[in-house]
Amino acid sequence: MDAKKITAVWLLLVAMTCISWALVAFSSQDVDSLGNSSGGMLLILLLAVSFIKVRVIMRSFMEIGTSPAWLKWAGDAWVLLTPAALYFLLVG
Amino acid sequence: MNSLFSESNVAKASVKKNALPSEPGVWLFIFGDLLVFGLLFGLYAHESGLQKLVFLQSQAQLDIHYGAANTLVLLSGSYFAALALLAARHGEVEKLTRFLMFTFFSGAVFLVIKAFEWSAKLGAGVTISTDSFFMYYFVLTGLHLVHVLIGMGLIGELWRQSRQGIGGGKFLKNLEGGAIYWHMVDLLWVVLFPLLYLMK
Repeated sequence: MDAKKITAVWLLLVAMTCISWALVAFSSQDVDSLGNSSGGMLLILLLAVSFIKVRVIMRSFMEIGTSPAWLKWAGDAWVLLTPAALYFLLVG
Repeated sequence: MNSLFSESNVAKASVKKNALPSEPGVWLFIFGDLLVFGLLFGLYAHESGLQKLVFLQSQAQLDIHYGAANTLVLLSGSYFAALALLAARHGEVEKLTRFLMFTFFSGAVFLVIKAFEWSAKLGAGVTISTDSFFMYYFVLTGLHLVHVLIGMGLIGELWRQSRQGIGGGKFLKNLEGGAIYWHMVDLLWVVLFPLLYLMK
């Protein structure tokens, strides 16, 4: 990666962080007496934005994108399985 | 130019397509750590599903601005670490030492923000034994903090070596390993921030 690409990746990650921040700051979620939240779609969006950021960090900064295939598969497995498990455990 | 990059052919080899950055042992450690944190994230989510009201009420006491600010700080640290590696591969020693210093500094800023956040909580009487949410909050952020400290130690040592002109292919491999570790610390916080502060 050259300096321009590194800067572009950093700006993308900063922008995505601001999106997550704004999503929560400007959204309203109702919670019932049992603690069930109405923000199911927001949860999916937050998980998606976070793990897209994780994949961007892995592929660019950690240079997994130019690494052997087994490392790409290992990275992608973590990026897919972790949010899937978190979603099902959080929503229950 | 000092002797730091006299074996720059090794550096070039590292950026070839399908070449493994750093050493296989580093990646084994990284994915072992990711697996452990993945399990801890899962335990937190499971407990959150069992005690929804407790987690919602306690989570509401967190200041998301601290968490978001620390995300931006660590992303910037990763940015500087990537620039340091690029400088090393181009034999730019001054830039290398400067960017390693910036990376170390971003870790220090993270610690200061975390100290403010934790002291506010402890000052308000909130501790690890307050409830399940805060048990996970202090354990997860504490474990992550230990990783930041180890990362600062690694980056600090690489900075010292780069200033002394210790170099060659081994230095570049170590630098790749240090940068990969630092990015993993950043990556873990990228998940911890929404999990602890944002997701309801």
